[in-house]
Amino acid sequence: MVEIKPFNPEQTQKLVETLALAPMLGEIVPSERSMGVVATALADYYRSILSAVENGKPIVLQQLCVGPELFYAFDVQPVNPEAWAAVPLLTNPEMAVPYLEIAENAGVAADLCSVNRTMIGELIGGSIPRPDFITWASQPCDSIKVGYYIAKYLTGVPMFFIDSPQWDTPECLDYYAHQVRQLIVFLEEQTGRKLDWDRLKEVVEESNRAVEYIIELNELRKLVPCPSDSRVPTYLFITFMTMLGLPGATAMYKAFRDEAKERAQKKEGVVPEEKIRGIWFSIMVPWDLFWQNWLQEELGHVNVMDMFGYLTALPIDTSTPDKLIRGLAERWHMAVPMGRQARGIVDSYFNDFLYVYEEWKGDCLILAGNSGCRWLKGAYGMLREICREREIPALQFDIDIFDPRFVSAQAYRGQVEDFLTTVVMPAKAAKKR
Amino acid sequence: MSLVAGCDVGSTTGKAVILKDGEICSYAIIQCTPSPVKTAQLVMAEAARKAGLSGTEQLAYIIGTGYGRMKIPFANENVSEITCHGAGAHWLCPSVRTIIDIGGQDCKVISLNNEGRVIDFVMNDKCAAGTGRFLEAMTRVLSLSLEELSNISLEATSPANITSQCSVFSESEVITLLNEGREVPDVAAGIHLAVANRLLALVKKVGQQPDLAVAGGCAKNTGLIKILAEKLNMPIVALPRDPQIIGALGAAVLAGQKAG
Repeated sequence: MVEIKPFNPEQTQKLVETLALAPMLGEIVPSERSMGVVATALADYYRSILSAVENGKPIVLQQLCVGPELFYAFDVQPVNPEAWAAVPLLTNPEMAVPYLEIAENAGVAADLCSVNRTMIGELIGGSIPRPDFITWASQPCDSIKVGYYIAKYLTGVPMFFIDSPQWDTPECLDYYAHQVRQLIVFLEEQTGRKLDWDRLKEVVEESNRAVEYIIELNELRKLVPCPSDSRVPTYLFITFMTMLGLPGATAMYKAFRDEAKERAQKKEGVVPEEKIRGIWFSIMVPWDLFWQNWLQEELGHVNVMDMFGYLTALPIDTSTPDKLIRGLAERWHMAVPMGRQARGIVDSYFNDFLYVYEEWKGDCLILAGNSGCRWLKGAYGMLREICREREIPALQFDIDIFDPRFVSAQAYRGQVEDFLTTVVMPAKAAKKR
Repeated sequence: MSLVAGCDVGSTTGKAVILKDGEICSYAIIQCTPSPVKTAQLVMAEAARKAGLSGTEQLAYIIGTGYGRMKIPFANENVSEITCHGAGAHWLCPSVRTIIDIGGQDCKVISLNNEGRVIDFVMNDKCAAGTGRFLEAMTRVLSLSLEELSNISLEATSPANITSQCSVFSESEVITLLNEGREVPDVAAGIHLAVANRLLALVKKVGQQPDLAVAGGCAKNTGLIKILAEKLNMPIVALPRDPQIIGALGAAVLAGQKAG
């Protein structure tokens, strides 16, 4: 049995200190204003985790397709390992490397998605708090299923698993809602407390306010020129799966909305001259997210919408417990990016892309193919054909979501730059003629 | 008189083409030195010498391309090798819609429209399989030159199966096949088949449109071209000039457009 080291908060404390500097950067560099806003919210999230560890508050390892709302209602601290590892990559691209090596040295297969390998390495290495229990769903991929099971095996803590149905039929949603009720029972057992329905209503109503801002923000992103930064969809996703239902998250979405609205009222875009509206409908590259600034400033490319920013969540009717549970089931099952696209038949992914491409007035499709993502990579060939039929310029390149050693920044950036300047810009110019 | 040039500094060779009044006046190909600057200077000097020029001063416009394009000191601007290969192939053969460029360290497939504009491309640059480097590694194992590898593969009766996933493992496979007594021509053809399979997957990604041409040094490998045409089930158009200079030629064509 692999030994798990006790949690060492040092790395997280340093991250919090770094995040706390970001708002100051935002004051100096206007293009970093969004980062400043999100950094404040994320710093609070990490602080609350450190505080939970210190005060012995129950900690749940929470996978992305099991939303955080219920945990906040139970006063349980959710730790989302996908976000836990992704956020530090914004400040140190090689942050995941030592944990990938720890996991591989412990016998984890190198072709498991690096998101899950990092989680396992962090658990073993003691850089993520040891959870009191684990919740996860079978969406969106096989790597998740294996990764979370390894986490259970390593920690030996109780686990609750949501079996995500393949479809969105009323029967499937009934089935999902039934499992949300069972999750409540599980949480009651783990915490020794009954669910306070009024508190859950409060949390969900807070999340509804956040969702309203997200909807408005994403509508504003449809404007030409786009008034919101290329990286904002990534920030939305990270915080949606970790902080939804907290006032800090709502304040952050409001700030994003306000920033976009202010520009839109002045008919300004996030860049002075928007030349290309990109749709990154797979992953962004989290360890190189700030390169998006360069793309905006040098090439006038704005990622107007991507798969992870395409949040289709709606406000939940909180008038009765049944409606509330049903609303959570619909949100977790149908609105979490990647989870939404990766179940059932692959058409849902293609249809979502085509909808986003039309609605957000895209000029091209960019697919960063994560090496561990079998389902997405398997769909790329067909998506390229769909694009070819519609004369949509499309680029696919290989990358690893957490591991910058797989394909270097230099190598993938060159392909993106060549694609934008060699294919997309001339195609746009030809259309104008 | 209008004199313009293109200079392509790749991973293995440097190429330069000089156009005089819209016609190819001279070209040169040299092995790369460790310094891209020096490679560019040497290859351009050679092309200039062949054109009877004293130096690059007489050239109205020069475009640099290839991996080393940022380092070409005398270039007026640099353009991606994808655009340049497209421009070069279209200039030579306007009916070409698909170009397979097999370079030293990468391979790419480029799709052109009828105006010669690049509409799609795909490249393999994280693995040597399917590139010139792969073939070079195999020639070392077989103790053959690239030309000999090409010619001997044409004598194959039953090409061996060799994986195309990793050059290092492929070397081991070739050694195993030879130890098992497989004939060298069959092994050589198997090597070409492995490269062709790799390229085929890339071609399918951008869509296989006729006419199809192959550029890069490996286009001179008749054994590879024969197997590739069979796999594609499509004839490969022979470009009327050295296929290794297509990138530099495209750069020169674009330089001509800039110079007016």
